[in-house]
Amino acid sequence: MKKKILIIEDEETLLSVLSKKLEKEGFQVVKAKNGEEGLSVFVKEQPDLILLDIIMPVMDGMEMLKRLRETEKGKDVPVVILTNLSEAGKTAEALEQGVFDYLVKSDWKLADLVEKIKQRIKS
Amino acid sequence: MKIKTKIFLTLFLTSLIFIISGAGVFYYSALKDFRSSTDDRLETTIFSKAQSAELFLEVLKTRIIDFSSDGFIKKSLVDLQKDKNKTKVSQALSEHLVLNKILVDKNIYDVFVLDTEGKLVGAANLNGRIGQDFSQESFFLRAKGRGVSISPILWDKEFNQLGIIVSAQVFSGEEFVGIVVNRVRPDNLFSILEDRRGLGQSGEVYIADTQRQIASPSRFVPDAALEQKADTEAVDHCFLKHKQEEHAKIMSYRDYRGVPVFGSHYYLDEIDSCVLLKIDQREALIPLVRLILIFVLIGFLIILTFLLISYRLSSYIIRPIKKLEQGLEIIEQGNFNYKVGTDSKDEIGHLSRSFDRMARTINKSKLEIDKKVKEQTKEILKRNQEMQEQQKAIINILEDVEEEKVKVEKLAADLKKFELAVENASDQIIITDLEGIILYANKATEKITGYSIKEIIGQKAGGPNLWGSRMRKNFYKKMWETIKEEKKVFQGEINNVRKNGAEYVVLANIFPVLSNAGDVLFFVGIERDITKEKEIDKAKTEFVSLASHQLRTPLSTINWYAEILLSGDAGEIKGEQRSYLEEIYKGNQRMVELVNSLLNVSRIELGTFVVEPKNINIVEIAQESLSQFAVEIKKKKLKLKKTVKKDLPMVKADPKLMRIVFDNLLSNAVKYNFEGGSIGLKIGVKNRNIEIVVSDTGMGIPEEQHSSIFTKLFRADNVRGSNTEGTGLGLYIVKAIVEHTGGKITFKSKQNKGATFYISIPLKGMQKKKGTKKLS
Repeated sequence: MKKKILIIEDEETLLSVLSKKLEKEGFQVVKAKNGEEGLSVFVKEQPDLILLDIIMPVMDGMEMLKRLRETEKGKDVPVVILTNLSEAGKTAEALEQGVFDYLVKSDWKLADLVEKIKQRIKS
Repeated sequence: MKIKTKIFLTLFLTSLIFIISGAGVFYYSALKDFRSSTDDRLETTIFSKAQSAELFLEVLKTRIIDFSSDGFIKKSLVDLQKDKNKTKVSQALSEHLVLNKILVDKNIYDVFVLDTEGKLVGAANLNGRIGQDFSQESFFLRAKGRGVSISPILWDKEFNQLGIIVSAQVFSGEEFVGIVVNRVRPDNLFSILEDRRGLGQSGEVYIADTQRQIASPSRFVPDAALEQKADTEAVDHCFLKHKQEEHAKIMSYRDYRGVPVFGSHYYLDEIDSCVLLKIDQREALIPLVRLILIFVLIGFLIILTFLLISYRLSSYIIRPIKKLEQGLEIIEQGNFNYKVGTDSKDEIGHLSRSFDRMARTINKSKLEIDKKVKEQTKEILKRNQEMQEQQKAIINILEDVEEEKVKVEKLAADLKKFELAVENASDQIIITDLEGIILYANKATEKITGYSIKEIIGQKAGGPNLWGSRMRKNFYKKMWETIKEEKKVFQGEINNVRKNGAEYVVLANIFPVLSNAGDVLFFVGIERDITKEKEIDKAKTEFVSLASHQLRTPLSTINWYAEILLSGDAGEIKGEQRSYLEEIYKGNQRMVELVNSLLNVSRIELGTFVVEPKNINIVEIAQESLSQFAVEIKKKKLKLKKTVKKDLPMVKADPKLMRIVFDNLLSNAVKYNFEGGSIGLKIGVKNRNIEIVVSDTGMGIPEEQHSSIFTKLFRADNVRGSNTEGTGLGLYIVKAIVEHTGGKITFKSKQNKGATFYISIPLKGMQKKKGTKKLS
């Protein structure tokens, strides 16, 4: 069965290139444009992994993550933060909330990113 | 005052007192006696005179009564009543009167008879007046009324002389038949009065009538009888008070001459007149005066005698004293062996002998004293010398003290400077005792914390009542440990809160001040309000973060789209397209690198990067870093020489930061190397430092540009022209990191001769630094 990945990202261009790549790699992709949308999509789609941006309108990534971890189903789902914000504070916060990785977009090649996802999704 | 005078005065005054008191007593009693004797005399005299006067009157009365019982007169009167031969009878009567009656007493100068109607019926001398009416005469009326009447002494106009008219009723049987009258000269009475024996020179007795006229002769006024008025107190008293039996009272008054007299008086009832006796006071008192004079004289003599006696007596008493005095003078001169003592048994003798004893004793003492004085003088001289020496010493000390004083003053002035400096410093400076109770706080404390000095002093520093207790308990615990137990400086950022509730951040330096023995005396806390700086930093950091985030987003887009195109997932890419895309991709990568480097640099600049030292194996990190250049090294055919010491100790360092160091140095060594060149990597230990050497045989750094190689964005001229890419930030970052560990970085290089970089990092390594950012 295809693994489902939820991408929560407000930049349209990035969102589309990411989903294109992941689909090419054989994943099912569901999208959300902000944290709020992300939560409702999560509930609906039950993805196996979430790629989460931080800087987003309406509800940012950290807020969404917090809320997610409060839910029954959202407690254990693997989350990979994918952001351009390299703040140590945010990293710590994220780790507290149990994310698997905190990746800076501009430092990661798509191919490596896919590897990472595959790694995470297995465990 | 001399004793002589004293004795004299005493005796004199004593005698005087006695005499005077004696005199007083004498005078008083004498006067009394004298008065009383005078009074007695007067009283006796007046009584006797009065008695004599009364006797005289009695005689007159007797005579007239006798006449009134004369038979012839009676018969004559009866006959006359019958109216028979009135003339003959009268004549016979008158003859009778002349022959028989008038001769009885030579003082009777007239006798006559009146009938019951007061008509003259017979007279011895007034023959011619037979038949004259005397019925209104008082001698007739009174005799008729009383039986017998004596008149006061009066001027008899009929006969022109003084006289007393005596009259009496004649009865024949029981029948009143007439009045017989005697005119009598008062000579006998006057003789009585004029008998002035015992009355001295001024005493007199006279009679005064109711008209206050003198009716008898006066001693002083010739022919005073019935001529001289005697309107005196005594006369008044006699006439007014005789009823109260106040007769014979001795009075002191002024007589009719105005002269003060002593007098007595007696009222003669029969003739309604007063007998007055008086004597001049002057005369009366003469004996008294005489007596007093005698007394005064005697007194005077007594005083004189006393004076004499006292004079002689005092001289006598004084003599031995004078002798003593002289003797003492001699002794006073210094002759202590002179003897003043006498053998006399009286007190002065005793005294003089005592003086002698005393003189001897004094002499003895004097000799002793002289001896002592000599000794003492020697002592004193000695002491004096000692004192002088001491004085010198004291002066020296004082000089030293002055010096010290000057020093102290200077110190105080300096201290004042320090005090002012501390007081006015812009950082908060407080001093606390060992328990943290604040002893002193400068002005800045007030400004920064908002609490007044008054509220601060005596409170616990950083306590909940003041601006502290905002940090974790552990923080404060650690702080106290550092300053109290380890006795070291504590540095750190502390979050406090001002009085008004506003939070603020300080950079605190808290350290103990130790005594020479190493004990903590007190703590000093210096806090700088860095809230503003922090806010600025925060703003800067946030800006940098945000900026880099914003820069990275399009970069990521380009990256991934380029990737996806290059991977062929969006369709086949051929030849030129591929290479152009690769250029785009490469250029983008450079941008990403630049952005990352800039971010690191900004973090280094702002000091907000975090250092998390761990015990790490440097070699491992170096290896990891090296591995990422494996492909490049192969491509450029570079020779790698690794010299790594075995069993290198762990270094306390942040692995990420070390990684960045190796990344940059190795990247440079590969990038700027020529084809076929070599890279050297040496890691060793020397002098408690890790020594890292990275060398290459590449383009090197021109000498003129050595000094600028560590500056931001600097790329040497030679590399700029070449086909290499670089941000110019790498070495800056490496230097910053290395220096942050307490290490050093140096290099050797010549253009085209390669470059060798030497890094030494102390084994104790990096200090943990809290920051907000990690360098990447």
